[in-house]
Amino acid sequence: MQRIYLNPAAVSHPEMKKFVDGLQVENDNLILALHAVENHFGYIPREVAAFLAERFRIPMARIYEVITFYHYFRTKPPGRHLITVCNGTTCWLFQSEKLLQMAHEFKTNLPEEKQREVSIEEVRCIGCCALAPLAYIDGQLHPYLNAEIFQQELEKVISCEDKA
Amino acid sequence: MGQEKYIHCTINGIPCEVVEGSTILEAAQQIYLKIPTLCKHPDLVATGACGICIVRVKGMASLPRACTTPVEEGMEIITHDEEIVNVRKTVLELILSTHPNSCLTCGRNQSCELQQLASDFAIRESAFAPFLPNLPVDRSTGSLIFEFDKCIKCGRCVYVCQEMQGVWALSFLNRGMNTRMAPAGDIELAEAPCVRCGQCSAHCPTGAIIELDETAEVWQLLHNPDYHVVVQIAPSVRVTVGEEFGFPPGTNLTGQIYAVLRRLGFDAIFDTNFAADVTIMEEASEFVERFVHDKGILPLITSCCPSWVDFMEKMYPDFIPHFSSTKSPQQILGVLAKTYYSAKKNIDPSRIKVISIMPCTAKKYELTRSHEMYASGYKDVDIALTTRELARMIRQSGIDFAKLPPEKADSILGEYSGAGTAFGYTGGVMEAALRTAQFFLTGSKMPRLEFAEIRGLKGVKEASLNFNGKEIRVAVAHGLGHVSDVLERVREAKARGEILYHFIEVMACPGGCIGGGGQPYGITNEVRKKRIEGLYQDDRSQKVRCSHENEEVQELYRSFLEKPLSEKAHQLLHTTYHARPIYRR
Ligand code: SF4
Ligand code: SF4
Ligand code: SF4
Ligand code: FES
Repeated sequence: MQRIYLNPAAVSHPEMKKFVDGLQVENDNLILALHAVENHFGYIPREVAAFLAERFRIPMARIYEVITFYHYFRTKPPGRHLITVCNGTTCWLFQSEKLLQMAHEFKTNLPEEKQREVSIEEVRCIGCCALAPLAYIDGQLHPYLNAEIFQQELEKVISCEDKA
Repeated sequence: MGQEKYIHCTINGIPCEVVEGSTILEAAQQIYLKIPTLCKHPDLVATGACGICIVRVKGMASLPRACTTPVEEGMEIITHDEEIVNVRKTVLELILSTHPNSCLTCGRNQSCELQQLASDFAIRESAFAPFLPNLPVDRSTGSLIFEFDKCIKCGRCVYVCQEMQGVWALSFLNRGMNTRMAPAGDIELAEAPCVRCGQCSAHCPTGAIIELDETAEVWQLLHNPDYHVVVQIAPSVRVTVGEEFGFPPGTNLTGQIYAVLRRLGFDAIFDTNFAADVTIMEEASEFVERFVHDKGILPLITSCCPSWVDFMEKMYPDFIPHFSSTKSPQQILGVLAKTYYSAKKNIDPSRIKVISIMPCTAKKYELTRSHEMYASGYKDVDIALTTRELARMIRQSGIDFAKLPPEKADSILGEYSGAGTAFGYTGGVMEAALRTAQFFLTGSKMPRLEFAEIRGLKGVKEASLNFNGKEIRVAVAHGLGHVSDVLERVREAKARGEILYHFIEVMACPGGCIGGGGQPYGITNEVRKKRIEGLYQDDRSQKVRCSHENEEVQELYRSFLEKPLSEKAHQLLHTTYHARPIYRR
């Protein structure tokens, strides 16, 4: 049997502490626990991963193997701005790869501290193929995109807030 | 063991009888037939990751993998035909399309399993559009370099680190095309639990994990006339370095190594075995103090393996009081060279540089492990090279190593007993310590020398000995994956107020230092056994087989240290341990 070796991971952040103290997991199922963490924080904080490693008596490396295996889990907090590009088959046929590339270029061209606030995500078909190609910017759906519109929409979201 | 059942098959038409449960790969080996492999390693359970070992079995629709498919009665196996060779070529071409193909500047040039196969299969052009992941190189450990662009995702390192070593510094992150070997999360290895044992590098088929090469720094020192450069060779190196020059594993080349080191330009040739004898003088005395005089806690645990020390400091800090405070032989030789030898020869210690030739990548880390590694007032050992690096220096020098007549080591840090040489194999430190402890405890001039109970490759070995009516229980573990079992039991016994063992030896690498992470490539249990046998013979051929009878060691205590555990000995030869975080991030 594999053993774990962990320095007792004191979860120090108050919000995280409150969460892990209250964490109830059926059958000690790691995946369920990870989902609960992801739903609560929007990602799996490292501190909480260490706590789970200890709780389930498995090495931290195993937790990260699981987190990175499933696309659903994030290891970093999502940025304030979330750009989600659909890359399902239909969108792909409509050049969604290009949109994705644009989103990345857009991000790289921002000042460094701004970059950190932007997360880009690629998702498989979301079931609105009739609207292809599509993307979400901060939760708002943008259908029938082309390069020009997408660029405008991206700039709108980021620059609005600059003026604010 | 039950009666083994034999079954029959044909391989390329040749009838073959194998033990039931053998894989096709093993069956082929029996008839001296090599099926190419990349992910399978003899030390590891087959995972079937790479697909290069496919063969054809009559009646099976697909081409099964030889490394994972057991032979069945009556199987007709074909290992090489046009389609099989083409599939293997495609596997290689796919791997090469995500590979930097930078063999000329790679640490595995000419010792790379991938390069060998690419050569054997005459891969001459890139069949697929290249795709390089461009992952950052991790040099953080200071002992090993992880260049994951050269990784072929065979998974050996992960199994070694998790199962064999129980460290879990490496893991499989992501999946599919994006799979990569890395520590948990986006951190560097030095921030993960890695203990720098180098077992991952010894098992990696490619140049993705290699030792940090410091031969250039050593050449620089050798070419600088201001320095008096001395060298020490570790116990195991004498029976392993020959493999790099075509000798069979276990060939003892002690005299030739001394000779070649002298020709490379070292000013004095010392032997770590001498310092191992000193380690035993101190450690056996520590044992007697604890065992007889109740000064300190039992079991006493050996501490000459830096990976083990690092592991304990991270994973089992509650065992710190059990650790022998005696430094490892490498460090003892270093500090003695810069104090005792320096004074005797009247050479300023600032001019002395100590180089060590070690089986081990963690020995590079040990040099700066704590402030006690500077006990001479200087860095006690300046550079630690692995066996593989020494072989490289010899080749660079153009010296025909195989033909050199043997020479002797230099006094006053060169003489060794059979006990000193025993440090190279699992059970050897215990054996050496018991030889001297017996003498200390019983005064016997004819102590028992060999302890078959703690020899061999079993992961955990135990013995109960009787010295003058007193029982001494000892345990020996090698391969860090086996350690937790012993320590958990000690912990439980401790909680009950019992002493399970009096003395425990641990070496991080399977087989001990002869199986170290810096040794020549191609490690298997067969090789381990031969290397160990080489050291057994070296031990048996010594006139003096106990550390306390080594005359240069006796002289060291007479004229310099006074006696074991003296104040001076404590100052120079002992160290302390501290709990360290498992993850730095
Ligand atoms: S890992 Fe092997 S094939 Fe790759 S560059 Fe190095 S020597 Fe060449
Ligand atoms: S680093 Fe080496 S051993 Fe590890 S998976 Fe890659 S090629 Fe295999
Ligand atoms: S050096 Fe040892 S502990 Fe570190 S990654 Fe390699 S196998 Fe694991
Ligand atoms: S060696 Fe059999 S699948 Fe890799």
